[in-house]
Amino acid sequence: MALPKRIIKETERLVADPAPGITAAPHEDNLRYFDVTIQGPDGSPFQQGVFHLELFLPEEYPMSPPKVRFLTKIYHPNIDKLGRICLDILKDKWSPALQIRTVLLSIQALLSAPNPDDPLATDVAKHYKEDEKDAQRVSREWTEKYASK
Amino acid sequence: MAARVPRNFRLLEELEKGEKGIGDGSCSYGLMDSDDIMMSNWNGTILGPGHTVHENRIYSLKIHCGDDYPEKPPAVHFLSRVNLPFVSPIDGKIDPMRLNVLSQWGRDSSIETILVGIRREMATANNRKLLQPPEGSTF
Repeated sequence: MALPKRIIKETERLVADPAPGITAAPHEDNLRYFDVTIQGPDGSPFQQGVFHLELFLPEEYPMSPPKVRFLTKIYHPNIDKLGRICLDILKDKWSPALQIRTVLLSIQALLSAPNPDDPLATDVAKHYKEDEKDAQRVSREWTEKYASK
Repeated sequence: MAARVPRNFRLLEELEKGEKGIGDGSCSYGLMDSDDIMMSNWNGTILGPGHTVHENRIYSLKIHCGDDYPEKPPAVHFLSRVNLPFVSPIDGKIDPMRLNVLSQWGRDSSIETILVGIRREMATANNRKLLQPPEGSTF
């Protein structure tokens, strides 16, 4: 079975017309598997960082959401130690009208707006709730340490 | 051609399955280090099958998934001493050529199928009565 037309179109557009601060390129030997980078948004503790992610489009895509995870360590209440992301559109709020591009933009937005009330990394979320300034300091340190260009 | 799940997403699936618990609980596994982002090193546990010399023994194993997992099987070692024909008496390494679940490895195989396969081997007519090292000794 060939790659579905929808995936081909999305890939072409991602490469030809990338969203600002985001790159996504398919692996040559698996066109459903993408290498992704997201730049930390300006004004966030992740500013100046470049974060590597991996994205996979399962057989059921677009009826099921893509699977995405961070490969770069990041101190963020909604991202756990294995890089797994807590984001509603990757779970129950997924709709086939969404695309790879919208998913990656939502992850970029999540970096600007951590949500410690819906945590995946509970210790990081606790830190963010108790002392946001200090938690952001650690996020900046990790960005410098693990996500430098 | 069906979608081919890449190594890391495949291991995440296995991790989530292992965290929920598999089968009747006689085999279990998990990451050795919970922030190992490449998910290479795993612990496994096998509860010795009943009505064999292994009954009531708990065996610990380590499993290493390389970069080419699941195209290639992982390397598997017993940490607990055990006497089985496919386990090196020197360092506990399993000889993949002598264990079906490793010699006939395929994409559908998993850490779970290895542990279940080893436990099944412990209960075969040839292996169930083998003299064993003292309980609790390690390699």
